[in-house]
Amino acid sequence: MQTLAVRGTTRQKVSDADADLDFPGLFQFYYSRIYNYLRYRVDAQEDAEDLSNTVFERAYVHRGGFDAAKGSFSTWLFRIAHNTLANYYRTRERRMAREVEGDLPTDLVTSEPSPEALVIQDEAIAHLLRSLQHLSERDQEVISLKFAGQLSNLEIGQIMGLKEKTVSVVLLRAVRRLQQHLKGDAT
Amino acid sequence: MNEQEVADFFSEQVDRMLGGQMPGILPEEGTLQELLTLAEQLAQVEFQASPAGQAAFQNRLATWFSPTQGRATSEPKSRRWDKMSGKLFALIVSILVTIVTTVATIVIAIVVVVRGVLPGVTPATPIQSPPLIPSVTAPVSPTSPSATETPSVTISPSLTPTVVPTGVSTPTLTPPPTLPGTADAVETITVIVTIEIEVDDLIPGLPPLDDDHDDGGSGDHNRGHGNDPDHHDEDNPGRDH
Repeated sequence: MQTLAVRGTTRQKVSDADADLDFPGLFQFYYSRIYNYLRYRVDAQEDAEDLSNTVFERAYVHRGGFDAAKGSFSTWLFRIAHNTLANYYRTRERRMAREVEGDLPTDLVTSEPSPEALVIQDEAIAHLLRSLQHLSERDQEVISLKFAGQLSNLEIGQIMGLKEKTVSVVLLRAVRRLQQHLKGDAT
Repeated sequence: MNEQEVADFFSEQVDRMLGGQMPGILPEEGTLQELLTLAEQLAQVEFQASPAGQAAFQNRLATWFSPTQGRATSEPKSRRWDKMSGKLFALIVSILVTIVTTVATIVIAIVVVVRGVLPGVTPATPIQSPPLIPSVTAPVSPTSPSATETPSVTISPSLTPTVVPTGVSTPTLTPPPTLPGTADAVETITVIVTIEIEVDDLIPGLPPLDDDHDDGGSGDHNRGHGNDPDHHDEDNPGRDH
């Protein structure tokens, strides 16, 4: 049983045992997380939507290959997303800086009610996203899987081929490097 | 705390944060607190697909998992291959059956034709039949002087079954010319020839066969396998009776 939460609010709970019973419901449930993860890694909203469709199409075609005994549905689905993203990067050049420096993406969701706080937060998030691009592929991947995909370290390790303990260290170092970029003293 | 312990603690706090819980008591303030603040900011970043993108996804879901279209549009490859392999297997089996049937038919036809062509088997049969008729019917006839000796023939157990058919041997000998190539005809004629030889040997006073009655069509009816006491067919050495 995994608990899924966004912005401090527990949204839904899904049991892995349901994975082989309700594919439409699971697809529906994981769509936002998959899109969020992909959007962390690609510049354009359209690309993220196309990649999301590709991920779910592959998941649909290969749904017979999912074995709950081998791993959770989220791990299986995010591995497909991970591979889809790798293919995307293989066919395109390494992504460049975001198109409009300083502007927030139009598909970014914010929830702070205060307009003033919202502006401050939006600026901080825009700066955060720009700094993310300066990290290595591995750092971006572990941060995206952790915060956008909301996966456990065990699941991230299964996707990236790392041990759970190693994922903890990689995540800590990645966030540290991101912090250094944010402070402007990246090495 | 070494780096692994700090990393484990950091991950634990991030998981609590993502789970909607407040971070636990930090063992040390400072950099770790700053990292958790940054992690909180990262957790707040959420993108959302456009309404058009979401609608397209919903349409795809409806198409994939509708009871009628889903199976037809995107069936798993393994199942499709299973069906294709089954059809392919059935096709191969049907082709093999057809080939075997055809070959068997051809072989049977060849055997029948060869038997019909060989002089020692089928062609000799209709030619042999005319001179055999008097020799077979004579001892069976009740008016014949030698008929009194006929019972001695029927006494023999081995002859009892063979003599009885000789009375009807005349009609049985008629069909072979119309069916010269059939195996049944060959078998029938073989039996009749055997009867003739045995009757000739066992009935005393029976006039010998007149060679003039033989029209010489084959000229070697005595050479047939029915004449061989070992029942060995010289023309078909592999076919012993």
